[in-house]
Amino acid sequence: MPTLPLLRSGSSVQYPFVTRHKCTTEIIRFIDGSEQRFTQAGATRTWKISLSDLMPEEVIALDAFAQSNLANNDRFTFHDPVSGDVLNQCNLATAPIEIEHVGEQRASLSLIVIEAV
Amino acid sequence: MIVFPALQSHAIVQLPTQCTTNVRVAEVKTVSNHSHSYVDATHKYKAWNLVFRHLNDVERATLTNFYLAAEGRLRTFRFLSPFENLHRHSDLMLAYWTADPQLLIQGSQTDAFGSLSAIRISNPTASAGRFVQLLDAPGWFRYTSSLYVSGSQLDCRLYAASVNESTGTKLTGGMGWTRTSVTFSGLSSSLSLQAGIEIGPFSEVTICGPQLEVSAAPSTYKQTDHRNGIYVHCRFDNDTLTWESEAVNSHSTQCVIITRI
Repeated sequence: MPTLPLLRSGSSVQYPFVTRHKCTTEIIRFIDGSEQRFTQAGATRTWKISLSDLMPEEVIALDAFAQSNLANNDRFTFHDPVSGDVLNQCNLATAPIEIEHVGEQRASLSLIVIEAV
Repeated sequence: MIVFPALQSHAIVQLPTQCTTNVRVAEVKTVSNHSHSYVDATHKYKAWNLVFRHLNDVERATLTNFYLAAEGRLRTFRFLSPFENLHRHSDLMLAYWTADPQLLIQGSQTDAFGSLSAIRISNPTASAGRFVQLLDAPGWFRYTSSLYVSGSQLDCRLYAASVNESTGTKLTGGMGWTRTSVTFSGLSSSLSLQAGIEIGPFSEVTICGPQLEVSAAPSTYKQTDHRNGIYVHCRFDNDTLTWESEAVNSHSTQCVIITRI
């Protein structure tokens, strides 16, 4: 299974990054103030990773990986940067991939990794 | 029932924390496209906006696991307000307190605040007796119990217990009112707690203003009625928990807890 390319530091993220845990609760509210709640699906995790000061080879590797993933919708392996958990059912939720060239040999890009359920 | 967890510092929230109380507004739309709104005063809500900054990995995992156990907005949980007195009827209304049968209690005594909410407790027997309140508070939090006492020859102690473990501190009296407190934590994994006073053999004490709070030291006394600072049907107000990781072992988030009061 493919793995999200690591940066030259050996890490898959840069600080700061954002993690979202999303639940899906449906609520039916009645006029008397009572309500019924139920859940539609399990919780999902999403990581928003903003990478800056990337070297050209890092950008090329990440861009190629992202293009391939978006074209084929392949699942890939992602290491949770906080818990260290190895997550094998991840997708990219970023389209299009925008690369900002901020200087000589320096570029930035953002990725959103979503754990598929 | 799950309980909103404490941080490693034993604090339940970080300051500043915003607490708001609101009422439900119901709106009826008619077929003629008119709408009538009315305030439903019987449906009051309380909300706490909790902001957590620079939590470590363990605290983040604890809060995340709790959020996932609550399944976002789905399930209810227990929340202990760190700004309120956890005792119900701190005016010592006897129906809300439990006294051992050997204790003799006289109500309507002048208290430390100039009203008549103090009680005099006498123990004419050779065995210690307890005057306590059973609370829906988990034993593993850190609490401070405090009480105003009056009496010069005291053989009494502030008392807290959970299952088979107990703690306490001897009360020191004087000519007027003296406030004594004890801070304790980690009594047990039980979801309930007893807190109050233990009166020694052949002793007598006058007490008022009992307060139990989730803190390291006693705060200003807050009188309570049948409501206390333990909210047993709270929910998260959002289905998304967002963490911003600023650095290794440093994470921040925000969540809103709501409950009907």
